[in-house]
Amino acid sequence: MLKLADFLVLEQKAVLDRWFDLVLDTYAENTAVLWKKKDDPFANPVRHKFEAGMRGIVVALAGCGESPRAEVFAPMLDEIVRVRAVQDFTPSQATAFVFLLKKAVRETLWEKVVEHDLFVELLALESAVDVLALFAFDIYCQCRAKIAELRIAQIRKQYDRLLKRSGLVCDFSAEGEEP
Amino acid sequence: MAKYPPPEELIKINYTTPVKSWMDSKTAFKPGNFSYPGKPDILKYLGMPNPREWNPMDDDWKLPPDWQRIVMEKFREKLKKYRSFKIFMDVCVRCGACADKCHFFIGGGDPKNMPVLRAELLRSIYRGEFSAAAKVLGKLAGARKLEEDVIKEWFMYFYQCTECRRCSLFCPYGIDTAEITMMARELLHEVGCNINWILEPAANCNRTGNHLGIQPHAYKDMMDFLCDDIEEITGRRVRPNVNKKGCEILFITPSGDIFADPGIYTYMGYLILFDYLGLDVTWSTYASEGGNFGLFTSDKMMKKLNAKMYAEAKRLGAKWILGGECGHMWRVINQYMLTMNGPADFMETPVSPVTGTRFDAAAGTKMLHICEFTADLIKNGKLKLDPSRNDNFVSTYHDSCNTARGMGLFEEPRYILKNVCRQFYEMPENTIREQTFCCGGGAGLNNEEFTETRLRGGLPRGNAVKYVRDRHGVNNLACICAIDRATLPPLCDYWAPGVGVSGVHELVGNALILDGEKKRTTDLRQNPLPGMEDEEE
Repeated sequence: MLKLADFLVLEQKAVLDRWFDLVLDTYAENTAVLWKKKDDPFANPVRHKFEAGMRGIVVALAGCGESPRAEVFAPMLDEIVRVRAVQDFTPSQATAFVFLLKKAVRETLWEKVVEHDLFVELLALESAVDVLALFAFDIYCQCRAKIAELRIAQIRKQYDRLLKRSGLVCDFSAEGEEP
Repeated sequence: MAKYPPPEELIKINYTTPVKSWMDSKTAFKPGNFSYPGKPDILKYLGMPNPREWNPMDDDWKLPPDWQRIVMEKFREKLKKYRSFKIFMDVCVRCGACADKCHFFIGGGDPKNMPVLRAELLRSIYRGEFSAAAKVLGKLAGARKLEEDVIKEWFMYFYQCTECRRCSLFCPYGIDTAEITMMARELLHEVGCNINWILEPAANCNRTGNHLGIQPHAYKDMMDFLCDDIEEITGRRVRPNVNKKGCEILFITPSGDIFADPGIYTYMGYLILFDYLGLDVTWSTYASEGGNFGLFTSDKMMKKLNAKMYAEAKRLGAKWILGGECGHMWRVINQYMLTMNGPADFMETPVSPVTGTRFDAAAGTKMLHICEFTADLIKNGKLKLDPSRNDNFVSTYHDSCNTARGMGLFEEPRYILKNVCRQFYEMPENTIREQTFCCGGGAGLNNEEFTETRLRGGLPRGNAVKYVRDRHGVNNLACICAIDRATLPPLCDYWAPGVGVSGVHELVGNALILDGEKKRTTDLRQNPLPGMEDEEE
């Protein structure tokens, strides 16, 4: 008998398309139209990164059992979260795309779930998606911390050398060991 | 037991964002999406209107009481003065060719970053205030009134344009969004809405000759410091001329490279190259800035800051000017200098004293790009090079928007790189040369408070870098622009970790075999050369 994971693989394209559309709906209408249309990975990196990440996630989800592992999912989630972390979203908006997978799965596979009585499996799958949301939250925080770090580094780079050269702060690079 | 709605109903959650017309959506300022405003002291020093303390996140921007009249008057003035501006306002047919070409749009998806819509921010006012028919038809004709929210929107989006001109490349009419942005910024100046990151460097440059406000003795001191480093690395003491009269060549480069990592290594590369050639060249502490933040301010400021190049060449009696690796400096030189401050007929067409090559393309400005100069040296076999010293670098090349689209300099830097490095890979075709993607920091947007938005705009570039990193093991992004050298390291760190940034002449400096040099064990960054990891100093 076929399981939900099998349907996820069989109907992969439909699930992915729906999920992608739902995620793109979180952008302005004109933007979504353009991003859906253009498929060159370098002219349209958002679509490229989202599709690569989403495909990986759906395939891995079908085979991950009850507890998804961060090592497996983090790189794929990163493709999407890293982009959304700098797109002027609130933290919840940036990471909500994960939950849209639930919606995509339900909408696409609902008939199969009913027909084959896969409700328990659906609940398990949705729990796994919840775990992915937590991973996404971690990645989001890492990205934001990185941005702060980059800002600090830029300020340092701007003034560090100047302060040393002007003798306003001491410079140990030219000195040896303490006598 | 509580009653829950059945799943069919539960799934009917509406996740979609409300669709509003762009004219009705208000601009929201929050940390990370705007640059800090110009400081009152700086505005006063530059004699610019409406100096005051203000914050874009506040409701009240403290505009002058008659701000509408001022803006409309200046708008009218500019339409009259610049035929191109008038045409750009009239000619757009909204074909959409530019819509998905801006890096800020590609990375962020904000429709107002589509070049067509960015220009429409101005055009809608143009129609609403200057076109009789549109005045009546209003929104139907894409027209609107000049309200305070429009000023806010202009400030947001014309300071989210890096004037990179990638969109213009795809416009069938050649509408130059960079020029539209310039006009909008000039209008904003009239009511005192501008950013400090541009105005303070412009003020500094006006005062000391460079953006950082480095005074002559400090400039010389930093130069000596780099000469010390060169001596430590190569065993040769280079003795550059500073402010020396009667030299054949005056060398001008951005000041950002004299102290900021990694620009200093490029600066060291120049020093080494000139010493190697025994070039009759002088540096200047007055013309100590190649960059020109006047370009991002106004035509007057650009002209004024640029004037020092010829003034200093004249004062020192140079025959021609050699220019270092910089982006917007070359846009100013190549597109505006000759008409703004020329003709420079007290100088001669640049001729390489080493190879005898005459650079007729520079006959007008009398100013030659260092990459053309160095490529010619290599082509004529005048440089002894050991490219294996750069074997730790697997390089790719980022075309700076300004040197690529602003002057068509594509081959020379690549030719140099291929001669000083043994591992070089191009990024995908639609991300380089004319189609190059901006670093996100052009037009004065390389400040730290703008980091988040800049990273957003840096996605297309970062994505292409990541591709060559994953495919070819690229770990070095070479470029010929000081702003690139400041903005690309964080961009790579975010989008393609593990890739560093260097100037082209840094790699030249590494590879050059100097007469009487000591055994080189490190590169200019004082990292061990390949195979020298165990060598003691």
